[in-house]
Parts: sequence; structure tokens; C-alpha cells
Amino acid sequence: VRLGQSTADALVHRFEHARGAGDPLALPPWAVELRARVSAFVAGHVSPRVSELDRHPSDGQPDPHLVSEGARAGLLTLAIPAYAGGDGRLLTMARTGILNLAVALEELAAGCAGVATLFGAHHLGLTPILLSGDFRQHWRLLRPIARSARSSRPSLCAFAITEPGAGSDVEDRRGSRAARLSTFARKVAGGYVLDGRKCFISNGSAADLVTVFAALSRERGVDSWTCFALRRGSPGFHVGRVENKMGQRASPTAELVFDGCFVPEADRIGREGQGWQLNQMTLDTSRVGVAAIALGAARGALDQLVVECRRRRLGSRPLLAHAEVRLQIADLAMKVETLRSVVWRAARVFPPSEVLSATAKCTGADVAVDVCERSLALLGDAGLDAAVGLEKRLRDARLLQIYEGTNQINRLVVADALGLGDGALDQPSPSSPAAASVDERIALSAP
Amino acid sequence: VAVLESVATVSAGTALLFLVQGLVSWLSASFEGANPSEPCALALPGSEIAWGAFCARRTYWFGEEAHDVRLFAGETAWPRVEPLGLRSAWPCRRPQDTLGTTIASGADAHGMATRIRAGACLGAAAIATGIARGALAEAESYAAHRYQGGDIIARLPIVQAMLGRARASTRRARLLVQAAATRWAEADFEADALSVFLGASSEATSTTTCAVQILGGYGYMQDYGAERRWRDARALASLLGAAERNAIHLAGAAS
Repeated sequence: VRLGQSTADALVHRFEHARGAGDPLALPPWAVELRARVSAFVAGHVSPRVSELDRHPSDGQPDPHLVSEGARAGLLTLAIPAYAGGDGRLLTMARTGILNLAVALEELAAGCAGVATLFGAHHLGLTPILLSGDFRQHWRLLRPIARSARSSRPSLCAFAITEPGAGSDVEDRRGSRAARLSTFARKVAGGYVLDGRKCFISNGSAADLVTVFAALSRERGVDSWTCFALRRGSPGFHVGRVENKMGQRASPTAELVFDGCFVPEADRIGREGQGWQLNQMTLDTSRVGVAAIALGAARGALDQLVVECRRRRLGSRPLLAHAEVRLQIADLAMKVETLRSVVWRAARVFPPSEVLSATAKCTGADVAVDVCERSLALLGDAGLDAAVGLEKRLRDARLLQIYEGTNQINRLVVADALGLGDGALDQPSPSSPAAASVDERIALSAP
Repeated sequence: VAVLESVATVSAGTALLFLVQGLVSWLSASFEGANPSEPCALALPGSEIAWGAFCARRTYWFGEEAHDVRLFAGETAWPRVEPLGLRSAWPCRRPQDTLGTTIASGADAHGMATRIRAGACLGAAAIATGIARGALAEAESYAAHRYQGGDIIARLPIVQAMLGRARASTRRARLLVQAAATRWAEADFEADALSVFLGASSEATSTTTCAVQILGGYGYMQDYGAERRWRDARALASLLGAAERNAIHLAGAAS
């Protein structure tokens, strides 16, 4: 294995240099191929149906054609390792992190951020199972998912942590101790019984497998959090209300209700009480995914803005003929390229860095919203029309600042890593804050 | 201004309908035979969308660069636009094959466009202030009841700072609008009104962003008013056309 890994590393390294002539951000050939494949999927199945996909899915089901075509393009098996029937590359992951997921999500989001969330949330649901490192569970839980991706009815996954009384609490270390948890598991013969509810679960109403986090003890709260894999149709597990969201409607969001739901012991992910650790590692991974969606959303909006500025006129000249408009577009393009550096850097680190992931997520969400807002401002009321499509991109982008920990929560993560968390003023400073660069502190905080 | 602001705390789209009706009443008083009390619609100078067009008996339209004012009378079935926000103000787009009747041109049309634009700017600024007030009230009410980290979030310093900034933004917008409203008859009112509109809509944009963020996941759902106000604030910011066009107008008015 060691020989295989170092060979793979060397190959990836060589490819990177050969392609990019020293550009550290150049994509390896397999990522270029993946990008082209996803781009073709977007051109064929997403872009022509963007308005249709923007309708509220009142039945809680995503578009079946979209899911089956996505599965055919390999979008449901990107992270599932080859030994469990997927297309994941464990050996190259050590070198290139989750770059494959980032590349795919960016392309999807350039077409529609909601579609990117639909497939991104599927991988989010798989992540705790992958990170648990239990190969028997990989085989037992992931193989059916991979197999279904080649069938006429592919299975989706979801990840459930948010509760009606605990949103940001369960995405941040400081709030977690006092979180008002409402989902509990109690041990019974042969497994556990779950009671409670989860809310705002992406793909919740459509998933065949959900990774759910529940506390084993009221007193210990998140310290007793444990992860379970629940299958759709388990007795006592049902879908509550399907949310009517402002945007990202291609991905259904729903409430999940557990009413005496039995989970066999074999479907517990990780050890008892290891849930918080798994949750944090999962979020560190998925925040990079959100950043990639933001990159795609910003890029898509910018591309559309340029098309509209060529077509529309201000006075007697096309918008693009005005110097101020060109300057603004250049400014937005610079922001998108800067964001790409941040996202691809974070995506190549494995295991993911908490600080880099939070940085990429925050930066990405803010850039995506900014690009969409400024694009609308440049087009004036023409941009407001749903037929143009930019207003949908703005509505979609707004969610990026909220899910996977609000941007405020992610900024607190960065502040903590810089040694500026609660109680920082009570600690004697061994050296000036400038003594260790921010980069060094980020490196030190990496797992 | 006071009425528009109050109505906009609940529904910015309805406030915009009132604004359009007020502007059209003033405009129609300039033309013989116009009945100021019948429902009318208006496409503001520099804008491609007519507001209030669905229920309108007459639609006033300012042509490209306000060279003329056109009237579209009678029952019209213009295609409805689905904009980002302000949906209750019935926005419609003029079909390409309808030309209407030119009722003013040249210097007359330009003068009318200037007055209408100034009135629209001040009214829209009042609506922006109302949106900000509504968003702030909803965020404060939510923050006073929502628990996180073992305490209500209104006590968390980060939320207090956000609410404090939003409160300052709302006040700033209100003061701007009130100051401009007293200068209605001044010669350089157009520049004032446009400046106030740009300022107030920017404050409404930031306050509604803050409100959605404080409500978190709930702020993104259509059950709450936060997401509607967030959309309305952005739609309002584009009411008078492209940012570039407004900048050009501001430069022209200032010189």
C-alpha cells in the first residue's frame, strides 16, 4: 500500500507540473476529465431546465430524471471507494484531498447551485460513514448506494444534525455544551431506539439513507452524541414538513421525525460518544464543498452578466461598451479567481483543515452573494426578471451564507484558531501575536 | 413619505403601488381628460418594467432617455414579470408590438421625467426605510426568543453588534429621507433625491441581510418575512434602472 501510495503521489505530482508548467493550482488529468464530464451533464440536463428546477418540490422529491442522469454521470459515487463499488480514489485522496468533489460541485453550481446542493448533500450524508474508517460498514452501507447508482432508481443520502432548538449550536464547539438537544437515543437489546426530530435537512425527504446524530444522555449532551445510519422506511422514522425555501429549490429540505425508531447496533457509525468528533470532521470536509458551490455560483453569475452586458444597451451603446461596466466586471472576475485559489487550496488538504475549510466557506459565500448582487445592480431592473436568471442565482447564493454553519460561526472558528477565542485575554501571551504568522497557526491547527 | 414608510414595514410591494399611484396622479394632472383617480401604471424613466400594470386602465411610459412620454390606454394584457421582489406591485413588461400614444416629447418630456424620477427616488427611499424597519423589528423579536448556547441570542455579543449596526442603518436611512422630504421645492432636489435613494436602499440592503442572518435557517424560509424583505430591498435598489445609469444621472444633476 505504501509503495502504491507513493507511486500515485509521484504521478499526481508529475501531472500537476506537466500540465500547469509549475502552476500549483493546475488540475491533474483525472480532474480535468471529471470537470468535462460534469460540464457536459450540466449543459445537457441542468442549464436547459433551470427555471423548471426552481419550483418548490411540494412532494419533497427532487427531479427523478436529474438524479438518474446525475448518477449515470458518476455524481453519486465520486466519494465511494472503489472497493465498495464507487469511483473514489483513496490513494490520490492523500495527495489531492477532496479536489474531485470540489471540481464537480463547482461545475454543477455554475449551472444551478440547488443541483450542486442536491448532489453535495448526498456526499455529506456519506461522509461520516467514510470517516468512521470501518471497512465492513463501508462494504455493507455504501455498496448498495453505489449499486443503486447504476439502476433506474438511484439512492440518495442525507446528513441530519440540525434540530429545531439547536442550529448553530451543533456546528460550533462553544455553543454545543449548552445546546437544547431534542433527539435522543436509548440503548436496547440489539441496538438503539431514537426519539426526536431534525429540521432543515437537505435531501431529507428523498434520502434512502440518513446519517443521524443523537445524544445518549441528557446530562452529557453533545459529549454523548452518537451517529447512526437510518434507512428510509424504518418503523418510527418519517418525513415531517417539506420547507418552502427562497432558493436552491432543486434540493428538497425537510424535517425528519423519529418516534421510537429502532436502529440495529451494526448501523451505529463510529463508537458511542464519538458523534461530535465525526460531526466536526464531516463539517470540515463539507465546508470545502460549500465553498466550491460558491465558486461555481459566482462564476456562473459572472458568465451570465457578461452575456447580458453584451446584449443590453445603456443609452445608445451596449452596456459592455461603458468603461465603468468593464471595470466592475474585471473586479468581479478578480474576486472569482482569488476565490478559486482559496477553495482549491482547502480542497487539496487531507484530512481537511478546520481553519482552511471555514475560511474557504466564508470567503466563497460572501463572494458569491457579492458577485450576484453587483451583477443585478449593473443590469438594473432588467436583472430582476426571473426570465434572465440572475435573480435566481442571487436567491440560491444567499443560502451559502447560512448553511454548514452561518458565516458568523465560521468566523469564530478562524478566530479560535488564531488564539482569539473566549478567554484569550486571560491567557498570558508567550509572544507577540505577530510572532507566529496566521499561516503557521493554520498549519498548527490542522488535524 | 410617512405613509409609504409605514406601509412598507408590512408590504413593500403595496407601498410601491401607492407610490406609483401618487406619481401618476401628479403626472396625469398635466394632461387634459386624464382621471387622476383611476388605477394607473408607470414605467419609471430608465426602467423596462411597468409597475401596477396588471390592474391599470392607463400606463404611462417614459421612452429611451426620456425623449418622450407615451400613454397606453384601455385594457392591456401585458406579460407579467416574475421579479426578485416587490411582486405585489404587479410588474409587467411592455409587449414589443405596442407603441402607445406619444403625449409629450422634447423639453416637456424631459421636465416630466426629471420630476417623476425625483419623486420616485424619494418615495422609494421611504419604502426602503420601511423595509429596513420591518426587518429590524422581526430580527429583534426573533432574537429575544431564540435560545442558543444556553442563552437567548439577543444577549450574545455578536448578535447585539449585528442588531446595533442594523438599528444605526435604519435610523440613518430615516434621517436621510426626512431631511430630503423637506427640500421638495428646491431647485437641486433631483440630486438630493437620487442620493437619498442610493443611501436608503443601501441601508435597507444591509439591514435585511442582517435580519436573514439572525434568523438563520428560518430566515431563508418563506414562512417568515425576512426573506421577502431581503428580496424586496434588492428589487427596490434596481427600481430606477442600472447602477451605471443612476451614476450618470447623479453626475448630470450635480453638474
